[in-house]
Amino acid sequence: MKLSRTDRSFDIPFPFLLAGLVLLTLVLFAASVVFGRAGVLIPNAGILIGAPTTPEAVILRELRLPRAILALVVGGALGMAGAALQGLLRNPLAEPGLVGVSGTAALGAVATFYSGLAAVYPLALPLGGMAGAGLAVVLLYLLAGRDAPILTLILAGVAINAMSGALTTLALNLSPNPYAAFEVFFWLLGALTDRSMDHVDLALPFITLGMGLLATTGRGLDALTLGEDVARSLGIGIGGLQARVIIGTALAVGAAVAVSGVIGFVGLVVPHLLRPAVGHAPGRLLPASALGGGALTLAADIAVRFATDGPELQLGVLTAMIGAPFFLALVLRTRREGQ
Amino acid sequence: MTILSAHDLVVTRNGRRLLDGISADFGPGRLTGLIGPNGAGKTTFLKALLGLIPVDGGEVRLDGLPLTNYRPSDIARRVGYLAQGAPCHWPMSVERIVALGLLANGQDRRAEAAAGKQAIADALAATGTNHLRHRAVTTLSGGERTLVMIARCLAGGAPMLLADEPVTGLDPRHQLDVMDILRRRVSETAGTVAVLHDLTLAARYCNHLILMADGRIFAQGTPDVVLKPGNLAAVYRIKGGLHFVDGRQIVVSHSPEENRT
Amino acid sequence: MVAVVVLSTAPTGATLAGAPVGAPAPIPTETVKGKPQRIVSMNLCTDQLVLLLAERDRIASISYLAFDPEISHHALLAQGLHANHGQAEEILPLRPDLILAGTYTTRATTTILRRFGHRILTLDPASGFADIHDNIRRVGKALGEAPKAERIIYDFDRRLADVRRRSSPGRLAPRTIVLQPRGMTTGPGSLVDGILRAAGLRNLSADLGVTGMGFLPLERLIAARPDLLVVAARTAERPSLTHQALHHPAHAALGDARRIELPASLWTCGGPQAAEAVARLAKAADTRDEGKPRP
Repeated sequence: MKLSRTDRSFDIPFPFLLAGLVLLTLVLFAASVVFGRAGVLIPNAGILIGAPTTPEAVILRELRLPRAILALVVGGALGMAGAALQGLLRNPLAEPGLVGVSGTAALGAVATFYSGLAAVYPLALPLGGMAGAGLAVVLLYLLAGRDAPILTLILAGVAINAMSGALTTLALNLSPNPYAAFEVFFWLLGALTDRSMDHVDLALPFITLGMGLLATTGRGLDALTLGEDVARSLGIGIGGLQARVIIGTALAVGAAVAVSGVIGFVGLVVPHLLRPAVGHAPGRLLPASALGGGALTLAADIAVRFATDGPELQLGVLTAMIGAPFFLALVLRTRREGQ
Repeated sequence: MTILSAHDLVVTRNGRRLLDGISADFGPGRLTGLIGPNGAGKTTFLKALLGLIPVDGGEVRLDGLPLTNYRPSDIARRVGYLAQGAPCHWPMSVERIVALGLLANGQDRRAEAAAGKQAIADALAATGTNHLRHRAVTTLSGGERTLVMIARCLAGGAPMLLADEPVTGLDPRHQLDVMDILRRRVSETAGTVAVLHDLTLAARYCNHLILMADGRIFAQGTPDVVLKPGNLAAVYRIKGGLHFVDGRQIVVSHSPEENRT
Repeated sequence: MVAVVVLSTAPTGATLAGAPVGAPAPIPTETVKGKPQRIVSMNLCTDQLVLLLAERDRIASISYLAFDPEISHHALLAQGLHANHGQAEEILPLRPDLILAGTYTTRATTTILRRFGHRILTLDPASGFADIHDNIRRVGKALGEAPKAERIIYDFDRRLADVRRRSSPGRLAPRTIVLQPRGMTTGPGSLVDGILRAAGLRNLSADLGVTGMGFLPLERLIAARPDLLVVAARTAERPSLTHQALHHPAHAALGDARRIELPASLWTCGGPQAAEAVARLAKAADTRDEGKPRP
């Protein structure tokens, strides 16, 4: 896959790039806490310590803080998992949403949520999401692993997405609650509106674990640039590398989707934008994409609050509106370079 | 001193014996040319020596111990691999690609950063690719790309280097450059094995040749022993042989052998 | 009020192109003269009135929603009756002599049934107590149960008057928000608003600019510091995100005493059960601390 014929390399030293991304993420995190439908609220020490007593404190601590934390870690998980999948499959179009990993995670979460299991054992929700995501990554790797052409990957993704979308809708239609059927759109085009600290508690440990696992794959993914055989000759255990990417993606994306629904294209747009800045090195792309994914999702989640007067826009709608044209452009470029 | 040896090696795929009882030693001081017609099993042999494919019989030994006793990282410290076609999936800079060679000996780690930097500089210098260091590897010509991949192997510092068709598809100048570099690195502690199709280059640069046919070793030894007309006729089915022009070896293939069946 | 009682015209099966062979002959004539004997209802709210006003053996079918105790006040009365899903194929073989439907639901089915010459009564959703009177009266008349309907209306009004009489004199009206799924709430011009006012509560949504059914972001709801939150009570554990959102921990931060759970069956449809909703809300408001005026 040659996606860039450029000789230029962006000479941003890696530590500066990371520092810049951290700064951007912090600013957006702060903005996510300060701006909302109830107006501008500036947190102070009194608000953040002790039991919240004023409406302002409740809004900041029970609504905006969990929301900002989730945007950061869900976006981070999606960005990093996208970068890791792309490194493993050596394919810049591998994205958790596009290839059906997020959709299958949603199916897993839907199954545990609407069966009532998650009401009895709250942990069942992220576990269901992770099981779904894991299944999809393994399936994807069997269908399109090992240097498969881009078309194979995309077709595998279409198939997995169609299947998981249909089953999710079926599960919701079969749900005894008359409202449930209307909730398909939340799962297929996710949102972070009115999430709570309970969701943070459920998702954060698994997302952290998954991202930690993905963070260990940098050397291996770098080596995979030269193909599987050369990577092994460089001392990389390919089996272990695959396992870490698959399990790490399943944990991070599965737990993220279980609380946010499917937020697409983050894992496509962010690694693509950052790749030149890290000299196309898959290993360095991992932390950069984690930060970039967090920043993009925070920004998008702020935008949806003010996009309309009525109910908030779904976050997944906005990321799709940004991401889909991006995806088309990438496909066109890939086609041109293939000729 | 690293010695790689094959003992009665058998590799079977889909009922076909790709390697059928091969025994050979590879050690320092030698540039070994692995020659033979297409499908003779040269690449399979190379991959088996690296432990990249499972073996169905016999074994590969590294310094006297079965290769399967080693962890991948321990093999990587001792044996480098230049893959056919020098694949590269991302448009990374030459410098970064060469730096990937450091993964083999752990010099990519922070503690070894200085040593790693020196190794990269040495490898770029040894292959004459210093001027390309900031270019994206995907923008290079095939010859440049091969040189860069050799630099990547050199940076890793493994004593043994196994190169799969390093000069196939290169222009004459790059072919000579590559063979030069491969020979120059051979020393009392370092050896190279290269799969070659160009018999003239094999004769001129290698001090040891292994001629393979149908998964077996047909002949091995010095070039003048291996490249006898009888061997060429039997294995390649050509009439030809080793000649000297102005004191340099040339292998000439005069005409195809008549079908003897 | 647009609803119209459509009386059947003479059956003209031939006008319906492609009418299935052996389609049931519509409307046995003898039943049209007296009370309808094969009543079909296709809407949850018409179900409630039919169950209340007609004898069981005259009800041929009611909608499947009428069996769900969470939203249907007369789910117990519904037990054992035939359930329909608002589809013409289910309704026709029942040979109904009166069909009741909502104005806005199952419109396509209603149109088809009308073309078969069936007698159909469509009812608007009640948006106040006047509509409740009206709907009970109209359905009573159509079912041939006008006296019973008047009795029910009389009881309903008396119950409301009781509540008014018993409520603590001079207490401040607690500022109340009714929480519906998806951040929706109800302002003036809705049945729920009428129920709140009848119970002596102040609908805070109105102050926040919501009319009819409107969206209220959770952040603004919390900033408005309501005294009371009214949410639909759950009768069974049937998970949905919307209900999860109604139980957001941010609500708990306002204090548990401020939350009133009211069965959705009491206020989903306009019927005499609205008086029960009013009574419960008034009681909750009385037992709660004095409505503290906010600065």
